[in-house]
Amino acid sequence: MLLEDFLKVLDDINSVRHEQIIVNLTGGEPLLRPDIEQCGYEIRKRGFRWSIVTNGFYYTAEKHVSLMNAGMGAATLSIDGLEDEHNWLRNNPLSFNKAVEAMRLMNREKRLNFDVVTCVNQKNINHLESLFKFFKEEGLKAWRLFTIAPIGRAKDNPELQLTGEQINQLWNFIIQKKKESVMEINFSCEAWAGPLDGKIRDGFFFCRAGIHIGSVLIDGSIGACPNIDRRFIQGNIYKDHFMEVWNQKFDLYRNRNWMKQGICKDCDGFKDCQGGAFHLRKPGCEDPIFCHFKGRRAKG
Amino acid sequence: MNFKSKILRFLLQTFSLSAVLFVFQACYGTPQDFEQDLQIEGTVVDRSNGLPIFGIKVQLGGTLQYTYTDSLGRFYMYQYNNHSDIVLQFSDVDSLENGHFLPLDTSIQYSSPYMNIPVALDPK
Repeated sequence: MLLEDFLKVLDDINSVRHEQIIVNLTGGEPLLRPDIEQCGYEIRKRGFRWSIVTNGFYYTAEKHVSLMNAGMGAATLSIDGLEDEHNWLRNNPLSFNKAVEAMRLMNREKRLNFDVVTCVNQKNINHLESLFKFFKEEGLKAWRLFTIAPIGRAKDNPELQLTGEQINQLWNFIIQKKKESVMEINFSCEAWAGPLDGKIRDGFFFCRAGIHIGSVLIDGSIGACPNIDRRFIQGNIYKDHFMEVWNQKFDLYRNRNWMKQGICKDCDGFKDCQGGAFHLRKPGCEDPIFCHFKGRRAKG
Repeated sequence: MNFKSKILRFLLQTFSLSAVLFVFQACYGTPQDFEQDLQIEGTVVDRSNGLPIFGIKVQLGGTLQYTYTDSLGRFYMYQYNNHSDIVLQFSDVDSLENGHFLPLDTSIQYSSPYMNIPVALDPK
């Protein structure tokens, strides 16, 4: 997508108050884009703030300086385990060292708010304590742990999915580490966790897709979070105005009563979970792809 | 205002603050920006003729942060805003192709989160 095409979207959003909006450049990998600094600078010129989600592979000292020069204010970095586990998931023997170098650069920057995210899977679930110690020694301030949604390529790879018992193990790990107060540690927005929900994250589960989050994908599609099933797309910047779509076509994201069917129909947790994370929904399916609460309760 | 009203107002204010923080707490994507930076922009010209100079290195004093002027002599950078004076160092680090200029260290008094800084360098 050309930068000028995306800037038209920001100019459209500029018709409303936008001081608190962060433009999050994600991917794929945003640092593959050669004009990423120009993108950031133009975003700031329009009164928005911006951030990236990166695997850190191309996050060199020079790139760090140029991104900070362009007004980057926040970042999320993926580190999916210690060296063996991380490189296995990333399928590259250099990935871990490059990600750690990125973490050290980000950690030195006073004005950059960043966290590390870890996708917990079969390879790293039993090494979280070692990873925690490593992050502690590095002085990391914020760590977010995800499970990997069984969507896309991940749905056919059992090594990427946790059992109900392992989800329980992950949540108990987070609860234990939150008590130690070494760093901010949270479970992601992946799922409502029943009675444990207030203990595994700061605040309670709330899927913000389409409520506080709108996305423009590489082909111009307008939707909520970028990992949501593409059949939920509500427009395209090449034929629609973003704000018209945001104001008039996002009811499906904002009124979740249609999710109260299938396994959710009689679930006591629905009033708190509201059908769970939107990216675990498929159009035309009664049930979510996975329910952490019921999966955990059934298997754990 | 009676005691009950004061309590109610306190509760409402507390709830409102929590709601704002909660609304903007990161979920998908990244944490919230600290909003602790300031923007510096400027243009570097040749003092002898007023023409812009390309390729001048602009270093932020006491940091590893730097940038270079473009073909119109312009530079920009965001930096940590500690509301104090800003030290900038200008140096000609490229070849003699577009002239050769004396380095300049300058301290600029902080005035606002956006500062425009015109700079003139003396030819060597």
